[in-house]
Amino acid sequence: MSSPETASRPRRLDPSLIAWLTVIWMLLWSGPTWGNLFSGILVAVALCLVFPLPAVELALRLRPLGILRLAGYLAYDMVVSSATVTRQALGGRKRPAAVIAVQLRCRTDLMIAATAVAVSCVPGGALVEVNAATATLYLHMSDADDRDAVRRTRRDVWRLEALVVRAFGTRAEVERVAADPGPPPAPPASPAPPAPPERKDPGP
Amino acid sequence: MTAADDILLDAALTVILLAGALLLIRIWRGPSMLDRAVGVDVAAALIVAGIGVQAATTRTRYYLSIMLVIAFLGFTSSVGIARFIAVRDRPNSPKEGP
Amino acid sequence: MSAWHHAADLAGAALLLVGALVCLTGVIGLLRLPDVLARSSAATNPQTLGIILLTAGVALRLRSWVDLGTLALVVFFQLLTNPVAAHLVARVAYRTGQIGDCALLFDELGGAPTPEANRDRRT
Repeated sequence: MSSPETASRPRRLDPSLIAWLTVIWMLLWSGPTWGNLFSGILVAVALCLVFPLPAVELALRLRPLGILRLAGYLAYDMVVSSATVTRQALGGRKRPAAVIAVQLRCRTDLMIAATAVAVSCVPGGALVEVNAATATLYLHMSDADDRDAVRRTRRDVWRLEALVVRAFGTRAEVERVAADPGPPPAPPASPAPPAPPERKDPGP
Repeated sequence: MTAADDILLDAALTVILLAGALLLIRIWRGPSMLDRAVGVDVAAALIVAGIGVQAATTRTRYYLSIMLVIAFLGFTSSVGIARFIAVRDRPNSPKEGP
Repeated sequence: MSAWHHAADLAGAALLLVGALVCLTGVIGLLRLPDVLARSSAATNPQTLGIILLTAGVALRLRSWVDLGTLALVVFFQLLTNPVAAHLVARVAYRTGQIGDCALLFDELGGAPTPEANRDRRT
Protein backbone atom coordinates (compact mmCIF):
# COMPACT_ATOMS: atom_id res chain seq x y z
CA MET A 1 0.00 0.00 0.00
CA SER A 2 2.81 2.36 0.74
CA SER A 3 3.96 4.31 -2.21
CA PRO A 4 6.82 2.81 -4.13
CA GLU A 5 9.12 5.79 -4.48
CA THR A 6 11.12 5.26 -1.31
CA ALA A 7 14.24 5.63 -3.39
CA SER A 8 13.96 9.42 -3.28
CA ARG A 9 14.73 9.55 0.43
CA PRO A 10 16.51 12.80 1.19
CA ARG A 11 20.03 12.78 2.40
CA ARG A 12 21.14 14.39 5.59
CA LEU A 13 21.62 17.80 3.99
CA ASP A 14 18.46 18.50 2.07
CA PRO A 15 19.07 21.47 -0.24
CA SER A 16 15.41 22.41 -0.47
CA LEU A 17 15.15 22.52 3.31
CA ILE A 18 18.25 24.70 3.50
CA ALA A 19 16.83 27.03 0.85
CA TRP A 20 13.53 27.28 2.72
CA LEU A 21 15.25 28.04 6.02
CA THR A 22 17.42 30.63 4.33
CA VAL A 23 14.39 32.36 2.85
CA ILE A 24 12.74 32.53 6.26
CA TRP A 25 15.96 33.85 7.78
CA MET A 26 16.21 36.60 5.17
CA LEU A 27 12.60 37.60 5.69
CA LEU A 28 13.11 37.68 9.44
CA TRP A 29 16.01 40.06 8.95
CA SER A 30 13.70 42.06 6.68
CA GLY A 31 15.35 42.02 3.34
CA PRO A 32 17.42 40.04 0.86
CA THR A 33 20.97 41.30 1.13
CA TRP A 34 24.17 39.38 0.52
CA GLY A 35 25.02 39.37 4.19
CA ASN A 36 21.65 37.94 5.08
CA LEU A 37 21.99 35.33 2.36
CA PHE A 38 25.37 34.06 3.53
CA SER A 39 24.57 34.11 7.23
CA GLY A 40 21.25 32.44 6.46
CA ILE A 41 22.89 29.61 4.56
CA LEU A 42 25.40 29.22 7.37
CA VAL A 43 22.67 29.04 10.02
CA ALA A 44 20.55 26.67 7.92
CA VAL A 45 23.42 24.26 7.36
CA ALA A 46 24.33 24.37 11.03
CA LEU A 47 20.70 23.71 12.01
CA CYS A 48 20.42 20.79 9.63
CA LEU A 49 23.61 19.28 11.00
CA VAL A 50 22.78 19.79 14.66
CA PHE A 51 19.10 18.83 14.49
CA PRO A 52 18.78 16.27 11.73
CA LEU A 53 15.17 15.65 10.73
CA PRO A 54 13.88 12.17 10.20
CA ALA A 55 13.75 11.26 6.55
CA VAL A 56 10.20 12.12 5.59
CA GLU A 57 8.96 10.47 2.48
CA LEU A 58 8.01 13.45 0.40
CA ALA A 59 5.84 12.25 -2.43
CA LEU A 60 4.91 15.76 -3.36
CA ARG A 61 4.07 17.39 -6.65
CA LEU A 62 3.13 21.03 -6.86
CA ARG A 63 0.45 21.73 -9.40
CA PRO A 64 -0.19 25.48 -9.72
CA LEU A 65 -3.70 25.14 -11.12
CA GLY A 66 -4.72 22.70 -8.42
CA ILE A 67 -3.24 24.91 -5.74
CA LEU A 68 -5.21 27.89 -7.06
CA ARG A 69 -8.44 25.89 -7.03
CA LEU A 70 -7.71 24.61 -3.54
CA ALA A 71 -7.01 28.13 -2.31
CA GLY A 72 -10.24 29.38 -3.83
CA TYR A 73 -12.32 26.65 -2.23
CA LEU A 74 -10.57 27.13 1.10
CA ALA A 75 -11.30 30.84 1.06
CA TYR A 76 -14.94 30.17 0.22
CA ASP A 77 -15.22 27.53 2.94
CA MET A 78 -13.62 29.81 5.45
CA VAL A 79 -16.08 32.63 4.76
CA VAL A 80 -19.03 30.24 4.96
CA SER A 81 -17.68 28.73 8.14
CA SER A 82 -17.20 32.10 9.77
CA ALA A 83 -20.74 33.06 8.87
CA THR A 84 -22.06 29.77 10.26
CA VAL A 85 -20.17 30.23 13.51
CA THR A 86 -21.47 33.75 13.88
CA ARG A 87 -25.03 32.60 13.28
CA GLN A 88 -24.66 29.83 15.83
CA ALA A 89 -23.15 32.19 18.37
CA LEU A 90 -25.93 34.71 17.98
CA GLY A 91 -28.69 32.11 17.73
CA GLY A 92 -27.56 30.11 20.72
CA ARG A 93 -29.71 27.06 19.99
CA LYS A 94 -28.40 23.71 21.14
CA ARG A 95 -28.16 21.04 18.49
CA PRO A 96 -27.31 17.42 19.12
CA ALA A 97 -23.76 16.56 18.21
CA ALA A 98 -22.14 13.43 16.91
CA VAL A 99 -18.80 12.03 15.88
CA ILE A 100 -18.75 10.77 12.32
CA ALA A 101 -16.06 8.75 10.59
CA VAL A 102 -14.99 9.68 7.10
CA GLN A 103 -12.80 7.26 5.24
CA LEU A 104 -10.38 8.88 2.88
CA ARG A 105 -9.22 7.42 -0.38
CA CYS A 106 -5.61 8.56 -0.37
CA ARG A 107 -3.06 6.56 1.55
CA THR A 108 0.02 8.75 1.83
CA ASP A 109 0.70 10.26 5.23
CA LEU A 110 1.37 13.64 3.69
CA MET A 111 -1.94 13.70 1.86
CA ILE A 112 -3.84 12.60 4.96
CA ALA A 113 -2.20 15.36 6.96
CA ALA A 114 -2.90 17.97 4.30
CA THR A 115 -6.51 16.89 4.06
CA ALA A 116 -6.83 17.04 7.83
CA VAL A 117 -5.49 20.58 7.82
CA ALA A 118 -7.88 21.56 5.06
CA VAL A 119 -10.84 19.92 6.79
CA SER A 120 -10.44 22.25 9.75
CA CYS A 121 -11.97 24.87 7.51
CA VAL A 122 -15.15 22.90 6.89
CA PRO A 123 -18.04 24.65 8.59
CA GLY A 124 -19.11 23.17 11.87
CA GLY A 125 -16.69 20.31 12.20
CA ALA A 126 -13.87 19.75 14.63
CA LEU A 127 -11.32 17.10 13.86
CA VAL A 128 -11.28 14.75 16.83
CA GLU A 129 -9.07 11.89 15.74
CA VAL A 130 -7.04 10.77 12.78
CA ASN A 131 -6.30 7.15 12.12
CA ALA A 132 -3.41 7.12 9.73
CA ALA A 133 -3.39 3.35 9.32
CA THR A 134 -6.88 3.21 7.86
CA ALA A 135 -6.86 6.81 6.57
CA THR A 136 -9.96 7.70 8.52
CA LEU A 137 -10.84 11.10 9.88
CA TYR A 138 -13.19 11.41 12.83
CA LEU A 139 -15.13 14.65 12.89
CA HIS A 140 -17.20 16.09 15.66
CA MET A 141 -20.09 17.99 14.18
CA SER A 142 -23.12 19.79 15.54
CA ASP A 143 -26.45 19.56 13.69
CA ALA A 144 -26.18 15.76 13.66
CA ASP A 145 -29.95 15.26 13.73
CA ASP A 146 -30.11 16.66 10.25
CA ARG A 147 -29.37 13.80 7.91
CA ASP A 148 -28.60 16.15 5.05
CA ALA A 149 -26.06 17.99 7.14
CA VAL A 150 -24.20 14.78 7.92
CA ARG A 151 -24.17 13.82 4.28
CA ARG A 152 -23.05 17.28 3.30
CA THR A 153 -20.18 17.20 5.77
CA ARG A 154 -18.98 13.88 4.41
CA ARG A 155 -19.18 15.17 0.88
CA ASP A 156 -17.30 18.31 1.86
CA VAL A 157 -14.48 16.24 3.30
CA TRP A 158 -14.24 14.10 0.17
CA ARG A 159 -14.32 17.15 -2.05
CA LEU A 160 -11.54 18.76 -0.04
CA GLU A 161 -9.55 15.55 -0.24
CA ALA A 162 -9.87 15.50 -4.02
CA LEU A 163 -8.82 19.14 -4.19
CA VAL A 164 -5.82 18.61 -1.93
CA VAL A 165 -4.65 15.57 -3.84
CA ARG A 166 -5.06 17.37 -7.14
CA ALA A 167 -2.97 20.21 -5.78
CA PHE A 168 -0.16 18.26 -4.14
CA GLY A 169 -0.55 14.56 -4.83
CA THR A 170 1.37 12.22 -7.04
CA ARG A 171 -0.14 10.83 -10.19
CA ALA A 172 -1.10 7.56 -8.52
CA GLU A 173 -2.96 9.38 -5.77
CA VAL A 174 -4.82 11.56 -8.24
CA GLU A 175 -5.93 8.48 -10.11
CA ARG A 176 -7.06 6.84 -6.90
CA VAL A 177 -9.11 9.86 -5.96
CA ALA A 178 -10.59 10.26 -9.42
CA ALA A 179 -11.35 6.61 -10.05
CA ASP A 180 -13.09 5.55 -6.87
CA PRO A 181 -16.75 6.46 -6.78
CA GLY A 182 -16.40 6.55 -3.01
CA PRO A 183 -14.96 4.55 -0.19
CA PRO A 184 -16.91 1.73 1.40
CA PRO A 185 -19.21 3.09 4.08
CA ALA A 186 -18.07 3.08 7.66
CA PRO A 187 -18.91 -0.17 9.42
CA PRO A 188 -20.82 0.64 12.61
CA ALA A 189 -24.58 0.75 12.45
CA SER A 190 -25.57 4.33 13.01
CA PRO A 191 -28.90 6.13 12.82
CA ALA A 192 -27.69 8.09 9.86
CA PRO A 193 -26.28 5.60 7.38
CA PRO A 194 -23.29 6.89 5.50
CA ALA A 195 -24.84 7.63 2.19
CA PRO A 196 -23.06 6.76 -1.00
CA PRO A 197 -21.35 9.92 -2.05
CA GLU A 198 -22.95 11.16 -5.21
CA ARG A 199 -19.92 13.15 -6.09
CA LYS A 200 -20.11 15.23 -9.19
CA ASP A 201 -16.58 16.26 -9.64
CA PRO A 202 -15.64 17.74 -12.92
CA GLY A 203 -12.89 15.67 -14.37
CA PRO A 204 -9.33 16.79 -14.00
CA MET B 1 -2.71 59.99 4.95
CA THR B 2 -6.17 61.37 5.17
CA ALA B 3 -8.79 61.66 7.83
CA ALA B 4 -10.71 58.65 6.48
CA ASP B 5 -7.62 56.48 6.78
CA ASP B 6 -7.09 57.63 10.33
CA ILE B 7 -10.66 56.90 11.29
CA LEU B 8 -10.55 53.42 9.76
CA LEU B 9 -7.26 52.54 11.44
CA ASP B 10 -8.41 53.81 14.81
CA ALA B 11 -11.61 51.86 14.44
CA ALA B 12 -9.65 48.70 13.64
CA LEU B 13 -7.48 49.17 16.70
CA THR B 14 -10.54 49.76 18.87
CA VAL B 15 -12.20 46.62 17.55
CA ILE B 16 -9.08 44.57 18.29
CA LEU B 17 -8.85 45.98 21.79
CA LEU B 18 -12.53 45.20 22.35
CA ALA B 19 -11.97 41.65 21.13
CA GLY B 20 -9.01 41.32 23.48
CA ALA B 21 -11.10 42.51 26.43
CA LEU B 22 -13.85 40.01 25.62
CA LEU B 23 -11.25 37.31 25.23
CA LEU B 24 -9.89 38.05 28.68
CA ILE B 25 -13.36 37.37 30.07
CA ARG B 26 -13.28 33.93 28.48
CA ILE B 27 -9.79 33.19 29.75
CA TRP B 28 -10.79 34.37 33.21
CA ARG B 29 -14.02 32.42 33.32
CA GLY B 30 -13.11 29.42 31.16
CA PRO B 31 -14.46 26.44 32.99
CA SER B 32 -11.74 24.10 31.84
CA MET B 33 -8.09 24.36 30.98
CA LEU B 34 -8.92 23.68 27.34
CA ASP B 35 -11.03 26.81 27.12
CA ARG B 36 -8.06 28.77 28.30
CA ALA B 37 -5.85 27.03 25.78
CA VAL B 38 -8.15 28.10 22.98
CA GLY B 39 -8.25 31.58 24.48
CA VAL B 40 -4.48 31.87 24.57
CA ASP B 41 -4.31 30.72 20.97
CA VAL B 42 -6.74 33.45 19.93
CA ALA B 43 -4.80 35.94 22.04
CA ALA B 44 -1.70 35.26 19.96
CA ALA B 45 -3.69 35.91 16.80
CA LEU B 46 -5.05 39.15 18.24
CA ILE B 47 -1.54 40.27 19.13
CA VAL B 48 -0.49 39.61 15.55
CA ALA B 49 -3.50 41.61 14.40
CA GLY B 50 -2.66 44.51 16.68
CA ILE B 51 0.95 44.62 15.55
CA GLY B 52 -0.29 44.50 11.96
CA VAL B 53 -2.45 47.57 12.53
CA GLN B 54 0.50 49.31 14.14
CA ALA B 55 2.75 48.43 11.20
CA ALA B 56 0.15 49.70 8.76
CA THR B 57 -0.36 52.93 10.68
CA THR B 58 3.28 53.85 11.02
CA ARG B 59 4.33 52.11 7.77
CA THR B 60 7.19 50.49 9.60
CA ARG B 61 8.31 47.19 8.19
CA TYR B 62 10.31 46.12 11.21
CA TYR B 63 7.14 45.04 12.95
CA LEU B 64 6.59 42.38 10.34
CA SER B 65 9.26 40.03 11.62
CA ILE B 66 7.68 40.19 15.07
CA MET B 67 4.37 39.26 13.46
CA LEU B 68 6.07 36.35 11.73
CA VAL B 69 7.62 34.99 14.90
CA ILE B 70 4.39 35.23 16.89
CA ALA B 71 2.44 33.69 14.02
CA PHE B 72 4.54 30.59 14.01
CA LEU B 73 5.17 30.25 17.69
CA GLY B 74 1.79 31.35 19.01
CA PHE B 75 0.23 27.93 18.73
CA THR B 76 2.82 26.21 20.90
CA SER B 77 1.32 27.41 24.16
CA SER B 78 -2.10 26.04 23.38
CA VAL B 79 -0.59 22.79 22.13
CA GLY B 80 1.39 22.48 25.33
CA ILE B 81 -1.67 23.08 27.47
CA ALA B 82 -3.76 20.66 25.45
CA ARG B 83 -1.10 18.03 25.51
CA PHE B 84 0.21 18.09 29.04
CA ILE B 85 -1.92 20.12 31.39
CA ALA B 86 -5.45 19.36 30.29
CA VAL B 87 -5.10 15.77 31.39
CA ARG B 88 -4.68 16.96 34.94
CA ASP B 89 -8.21 18.20 35.34
CA ARG B 90 -10.15 15.68 33.35
CA PRO B 91 -13.48 15.70 35.16
CA ASN B 92 -14.42 12.03 35.15
CA SER B 93 -13.10 9.76 32.49
CA PRO B 94 -15.93 7.48 31.46
CA LYS B 95 -13.99 6.06 28.55
CA GLU B 96 -11.16 4.78 30.70
CA GLY B 97 -10.77 1.22 29.52
CA PRO B 98 -9.64 -1.68 31.67
CA MET C 1 0.12 57.81 -9.54
CA SER C 2 -0.69 59.55 -6.35
CA ALA C 3 -4.35 58.73 -6.77
CA TRP C 4 -3.49 55.04 -6.96
CA HIS C 5 -1.48 55.25 -3.77
CA HIS C 6 -4.35 57.03 -2.13
CA ALA C 7 -6.83 54.38 -3.18
CA ALA C 8 -4.51 51.58 -2.03
CA ASP C 9 -4.12 53.26 1.35
CA LEU C 10 -7.84 53.57 1.75
CA ALA C 11 -8.53 50.00 0.65
CA GLY C 12 -5.81 48.75 3.00
CA ALA C 13 -7.30 50.60 5.94
CA ALA C 14 -10.74 49.24 5.09
CA LEU C 15 -9.37 45.70 4.90
CA LEU C 16 -7.72 46.16 8.27
CA LEU C 17 -11.04 47.18 9.78
CA VAL C 18 -12.88 44.25 8.17
CA GLY C 19 -10.25 41.81 9.38
CA ALA C 20 -10.49 43.17 12.89
CA LEU C 21 -14.27 42.82 12.78
CA VAL C 22 -13.99 39.20 11.66
CA CYS C 23 -11.61 38.53 14.55
CA LEU C 24 -14.18 40.12 16.84
CA THR C 25 -16.92 37.77 15.60
CA GLY C 26 -14.64 34.86 16.40
CA VAL C 27 -14.15 36.11 19.94
CA ILE C 28 -17.90 36.62 20.34
CA GLY C 29 -18.40 33.03 19.24
CA LEU C 30 -15.81 32.01 21.80
CA LEU C 31 -17.85 33.74 24.49
CA ARG C 32 -21.30 32.58 23.48
CA LEU C 33 -20.95 28.99 22.34
CA PRO C 34 -21.75 26.27 24.86
CA ASP C 35 -18.92 23.73 24.81
CA VAL C 36 -15.22 23.43 24.16
CA LEU C 37 -15.40 21.80 20.76
CA ALA C 38 -17.75 24.40 19.34
CA ARG C 39 -15.64 27.15 20.85
CA SER C 40 -12.49 25.72 19.39
CA SER C 41 -13.83 25.59 15.87
CA ALA C 42 -15.40 28.99 16.39
CA ALA C 43 -12.07 30.38 17.39
CA THR C 44 -10.06 28.87 14.55
CA ASN C 45 -11.88 29.90 11.43
CA PRO C 46 -12.75 33.56 11.95
CA GLN C 47 -9.33 34.03 13.47
CA THR C 48 -7.57 32.70 10.39
CA LEU C 49 -9.84 34.61 8.03
CA GLY C 50 -9.41 37.80 10.03
CA ILE C 51 -5.64 37.49 9.98
CA ILE C 52 -5.69 36.93 6.22
CA LEU C 53 -7.80 40.02 5.58
CA LEU C 54 -5.78 42.12 7.98
CA THR C 55 -2.53 40.99 6.44
CA ALA C 56 -3.79 41.88 3.00
CA GLY C 57 -4.56 45.33 4.36
CA VAL C 58 -1.05 45.71 5.74
CA ALA C 59 0.42 44.60 2.41
CA LEU C 60 -1.68 47.17 0.57
CA ARG C 61 -0.36 49.91 2.77
CA LEU C 62 3.29 48.92 2.78
CA ARG C 63 3.53 48.05 -0.94
CA SER C 64 6.90 46.36 -1.14
CA TRP C 65 7.69 42.88 -2.41
CA VAL C 66 9.83 41.82 0.52
CA ASP C 67 7.11 42.78 2.96
CA LEU C 68 4.60 40.93 0.83
CA GLY C 69 6.76 37.82 1.18
CA THR C 70 6.92 38.19 4.95
CA LEU C 71 3.18 38.70 5.18
CA ALA C 72 2.52 35.71 2.95
CA LEU C 73 4.67 33.67 5.31
CA VAL C 74 2.63 34.96 8.27
CA VAL C 75 -0.56 33.76 6.58
CA PHE C 76 1.06 30.46 5.63
CA PHE C 77 2.06 29.72 9.20
CA GLN C 78 -1.34 30.74 10.51
CA LEU C 79 -3.00 28.37 8.06
CA LEU C 80 -0.61 25.60 9.02
CA THR C 81 -0.55 25.95 12.79
CA ASN C 82 -4.13 26.85 13.69
CA PRO C 83 -5.53 23.47 12.61
CA VAL C 84 -2.81 21.74 14.65
CA ALA C 85 -3.83 23.55 17.80
CA ALA C 86 -7.54 23.09 17.08
CA HIS C 87 -7.10 19.39 16.45
CA LEU C 88 -5.12 18.83 19.64
CA VAL C 89 -7.66 20.72 21.71
CA ALA C 90 -10.53 18.79 20.12
CA ARG C 91 -8.77 15.48 20.65
CA VAL C 92 -8.07 16.11 24.31
CA ALA C 93 -11.61 17.42 24.81
CA TYR C 94 -13.10 14.30 23.26
CA ARG C 95 -10.87 11.98 25.19
CA THR C 96 -11.50 13.59 28.53
CA GLY C 97 -15.22 13.69 27.92
CA GLN C 98 -15.66 17.45 27.79
CA ILE C 99 -17.99 17.38 24.83
CA GLY C 100 -20.92 19.34 26.09
CA ASP C 101 -23.89 18.57 28.27
CA CYS C 102 -25.97 16.50 25.92
CA ALA C 103 -24.68 13.11 24.91
CA LEU C 104 -23.55 12.38 21.41
CA LEU C 105 -26.26 11.31 19.02
CA PHE C 106 -23.99 8.62 17.66
CA ASP C 107 -20.29 8.03 17.85
CA GLU C 108 -18.51 6.23 15.10
CA LEU C 109 -15.18 6.48 16.85
CA GLY C 110 -16.33 4.70 19.99
CA GLY C 111 -15.67 1.19 18.79
CA ALA C 112 -12.43 1.84 17.04
CA PRO C 113 -9.70 3.28 19.23
CA THR C 114 -6.60 4.06 17.30
CA PRO C 115 -3.12 2.93 18.29
CA GLU C 116 -2.22 6.48 19.17
CA ALA C 117 -5.21 6.72 21.49
CA ASN C 118 -4.17 3.57 23.28
CA ARG C 119 -0.67 4.83 23.73
CA ASP C 120 -1.82 8.18 25.07
CA ARG C 121 -4.37 6.69 27.38
CA ARG C 122 -1.69 4.86 29.28
CA THR C 123 0.04 8.06 30.28
